[in-house]
Amino acid sequence: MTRLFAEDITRRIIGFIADETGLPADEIEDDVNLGAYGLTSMSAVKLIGILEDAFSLRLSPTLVFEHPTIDELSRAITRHAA
Amino acid sequence: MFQKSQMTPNEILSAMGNLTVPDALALRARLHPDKTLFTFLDEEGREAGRLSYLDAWRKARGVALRLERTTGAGDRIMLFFPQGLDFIVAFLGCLMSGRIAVPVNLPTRRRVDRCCRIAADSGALAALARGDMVESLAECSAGTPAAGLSWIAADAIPAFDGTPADEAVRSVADPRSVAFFQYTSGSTSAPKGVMVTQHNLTTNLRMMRDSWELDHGTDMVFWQPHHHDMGLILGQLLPIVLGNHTVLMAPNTFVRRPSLWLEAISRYRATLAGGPNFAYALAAERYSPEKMAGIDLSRWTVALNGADVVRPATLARFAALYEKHGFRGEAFLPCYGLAEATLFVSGGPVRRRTCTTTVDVRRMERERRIVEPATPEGGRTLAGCGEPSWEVEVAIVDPATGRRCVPGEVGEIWVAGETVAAGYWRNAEATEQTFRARLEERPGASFLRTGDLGFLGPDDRQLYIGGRLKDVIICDGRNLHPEDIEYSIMEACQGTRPQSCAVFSHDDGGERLTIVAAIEVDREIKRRLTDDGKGFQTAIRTFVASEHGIALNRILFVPPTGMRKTTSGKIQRGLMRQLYLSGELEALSS
Repeated sequence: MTRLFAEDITRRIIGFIADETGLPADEIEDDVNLGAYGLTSMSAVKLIGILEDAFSLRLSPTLVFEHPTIDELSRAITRHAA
Repeated sequence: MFQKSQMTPNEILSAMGNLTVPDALALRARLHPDKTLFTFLDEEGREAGRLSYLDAWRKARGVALRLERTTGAGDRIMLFFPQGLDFIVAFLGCLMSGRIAVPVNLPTRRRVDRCCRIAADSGALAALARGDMVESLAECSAGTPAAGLSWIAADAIPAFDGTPADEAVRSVADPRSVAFFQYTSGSTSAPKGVMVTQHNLTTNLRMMRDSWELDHGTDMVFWQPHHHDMGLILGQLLPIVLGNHTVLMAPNTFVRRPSLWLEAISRYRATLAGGPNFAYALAAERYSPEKMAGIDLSRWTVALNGADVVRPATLARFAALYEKHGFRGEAFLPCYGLAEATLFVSGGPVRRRTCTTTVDVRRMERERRIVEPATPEGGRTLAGCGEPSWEVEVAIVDPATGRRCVPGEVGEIWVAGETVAAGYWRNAEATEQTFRARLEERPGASFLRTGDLGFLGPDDRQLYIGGRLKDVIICDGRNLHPEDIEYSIMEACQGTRPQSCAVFSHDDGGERLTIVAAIEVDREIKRRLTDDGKGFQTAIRTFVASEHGIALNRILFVPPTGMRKTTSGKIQRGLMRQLYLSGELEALSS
């Protein structure tokens, strides 16, 4: 159940980046620093808001800066939700 | 000023249209002291602070008295505040005491440079900041031009214990004196402080009030930061002139949960709210019928859209979703302005359908002519940015010849009027170039050269924006300077010579801007591209994103012969951009 949750989050984050940058989802790697996709502090706040809505969570925007790859961020959020 | 037993509505209107902002506040603190001026909402949309008119006046007066003790008339005072209600009273305290306010964005760990350069350029000797931030701010500025700043903890300043009834005379502040510097125009390395006088402010606030039919009953909701001119002048100074109630929230609150903004507009029955185009795009993307249950937007009849390109597609998308909740498309109010004209130049009339016109984009950009598109794909629909206020004169001028354009031509937008700022601080050359343009047939009149291209709609009298002469890139309502981004790219490339990078933007007419960087390839860069091209580009993107808050959408590596420079070796961004758009820019294939 927890593992599936992390994959859902990853998929959501990849979808967000694809929408923001126009990059195809399959070119977005989960172990690359999010800044490489042009993730700015404003887009980090956007992303947090979207994930909060999607998974009914309360998250801290600093999570994105503390866990700057998609993989790390998904796992941190999963831990937070548990 | 306070000798009458009461003031008639007309007298109040005239007074508010003519007094300096501090005097307007003093008068209102006397007329309706306990009315709420500002309410601040926290990140959950809950009320987290409140200032009545009298509170605001007392706190500002306290700051003014403190500044009068330790600083001199005309001294520049930097203001370092997070979003909240502390900023405005500090700002007003400066104006009240004849000190020049210099509002700045809080420096992040890595972006101290901009603040320090502004401190140096403005010659500021003192800074007001929230007490708990003074230490870290002082640390940031150690070893920089801002190291000599004398820090004043604003929250430690007691409010003045009295009322404006004690003041018998109109303040002696000279309306032509400078109220504050606006540093949104210049780059980090070459900051330009627009000198806005008390008179400029009073004029521009009156222009907005009167163009948009605002009064003490037209409440407002804002999320724009105070270091942005819309957030400062529209969001925090216009309320004082109007005598209304204004609800403020931080930009992050809005970006994270756009529904909070809409809920506030509904809950507080706001008439006016808005932002740059991206705010409407964001609200459309994050639309949720569940969150909008019970929300009534029908009183929101002035939906401003300014500080960036207005995109008809976004307006349509937003209206389609929010119409079910009472929003009407007639509420949209695209507007145009710039710091050099204080803020507002054109917008309105209110409650009318947005005007649009569809032009051939190529002919507009290349030949500066307005014609119908030859093919549907070649057309771009532009939104009218309102009629210019009656208090300004707008001229469309050929930038090369200085002559007025004929109908059908796109030219540079020139503006004259009492709202045009006094000039750039201690920069006679830039002031002369920008603020003192002359039109042959209008001798004696001085015009502001906006650096924006446009035309006036012959039938609808609307100002249409058709591009930019200046190289500045506007992204999400913020001004970005290519030279700042280029500098960061060169830093990321380690050891590349100056003038070896060009950053420019282009618009495909969709809802987003594309930002392109063209980097000159030298031996070092070639090596890095061969070793780990992807990692190298990632490093550049990441650095630019963190330094400037923007995404580089395309990075091109260009051979030296492909980089266009003047005879003195300066990069020709405009030319590079043109070549890129027509597919003629040589670039290495990735």
